[in-house]
Amino acid sequence: MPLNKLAYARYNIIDDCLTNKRRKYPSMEDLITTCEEKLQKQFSISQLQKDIKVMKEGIMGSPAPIKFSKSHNGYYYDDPDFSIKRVPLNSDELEALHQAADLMKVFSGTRVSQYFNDAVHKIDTALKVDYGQPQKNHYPIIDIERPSAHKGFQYFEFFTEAAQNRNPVSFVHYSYDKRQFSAVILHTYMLKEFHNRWYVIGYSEKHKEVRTFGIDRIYDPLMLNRQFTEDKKFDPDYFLKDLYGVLPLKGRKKQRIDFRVNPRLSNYFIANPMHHSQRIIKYHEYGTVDFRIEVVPTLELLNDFFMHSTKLVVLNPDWIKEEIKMMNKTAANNERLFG
Amino acid sequence: MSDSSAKYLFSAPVHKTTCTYVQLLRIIMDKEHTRIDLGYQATDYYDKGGWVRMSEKTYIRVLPDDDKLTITGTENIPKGNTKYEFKTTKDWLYFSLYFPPIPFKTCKIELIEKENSDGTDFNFYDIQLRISEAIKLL
Repeated sequence: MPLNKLAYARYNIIDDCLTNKRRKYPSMEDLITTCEEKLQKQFSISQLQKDIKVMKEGIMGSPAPIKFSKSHNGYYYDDPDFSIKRVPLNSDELEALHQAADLMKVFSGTRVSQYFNDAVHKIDTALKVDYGQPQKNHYPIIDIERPSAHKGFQYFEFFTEAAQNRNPVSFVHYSYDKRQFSAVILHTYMLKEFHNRWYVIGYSEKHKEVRTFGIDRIYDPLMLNRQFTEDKKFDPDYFLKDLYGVLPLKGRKKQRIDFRVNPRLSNYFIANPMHHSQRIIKYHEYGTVDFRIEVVPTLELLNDFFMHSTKLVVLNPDWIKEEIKMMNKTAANNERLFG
Repeated sequence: MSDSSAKYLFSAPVHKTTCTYVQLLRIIMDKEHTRIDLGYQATDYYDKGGWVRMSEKTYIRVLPDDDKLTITGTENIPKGNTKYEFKTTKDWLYFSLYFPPIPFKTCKIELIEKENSDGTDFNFYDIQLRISEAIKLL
């Protein structure tokens, strides 16, 4: 039977109390108080009695030899060496742990923080030492698209810490479009990944508004001892839900966008919606499908439409149709210039 | 406000310059040194963007006393005769220059690579360091 997290936490606390050599024979009141202190929740006598019964029945893998001593008015383990923490994992649990460790390894490396990598390494080593190698699949069975040596990715942890601790940061930013540097002071609110690239979003003192910066264009960030600015206009939903990508097009609000996809690409769009708002608005006889999304248009959206433009046409709004036309024209000119 | 072990940042200080391709971005001061962060955008004026290097005689002048503090080090740009060659006219370079520490007080400084320059040297004048605008680093 699967254990719920809170019950599991209580069993561990009861086990700690029963194995505490400095304070033997904890009473029911002691057990309740300790559970309440550690879990910041209230528990009844009947709840703890039930927990003891369940532990005795062996829900943790082996029956816990819990006894009550009338002379000491408290509980104890009949076997002084017993602890639920020493109960071995069964094969299903072990396999699940190995799978989880594999999954965590995939997300470690350059992807999260050094602390996370260290923790994953410890778990992996502990599993191998205590339980040996898993019997099958000695290679990772999960692989994900990962940034290997993306420029600026070394600052990922720095910005995570800045957002968590609410420390403003100073950095130098280079704009690929304007071909210009700027010294930015940013109050980081969040980091966002899109198409395997990372961006920091926060209030920029220079621009006096919430801005997005590609982490690959950032140089030498420094943590500042300065009051953190919370922009009241900052709406996380805008960045997390409404925006397709990260770089909104100036003056363009959330809007409906309809597009038609040919039969070769439509199944891909049905299986992998480009946005959570994506709906099918019409099936055509020969497999062409019309879709609708409701998003804040971004540069990334235009690029993705352009990328699929041999199999996809935007139906409306007109301004996006025009933008894609212009991009196709530029591509044709580029072919003449560089081809 | 001043703490002898602290580092202070002046972000985008007000200044004057005739350099078109190089930007003065930040100045960081501590008791060890004065660091100046700059950014250079290569130009099609030169073949393949040309090259950059810092003169070993580059100095900062603290006004009004006229104290000259000569460059002690660089980061990401060579000092002396070695050149950093760009590959294209669209390249860019972020780099830092190090000088001896300057007193932590409101003052104006100048960054001079070459006096009476023809405009190709990295000279910046009237760089305003206002204590009220200094930000302590963590």
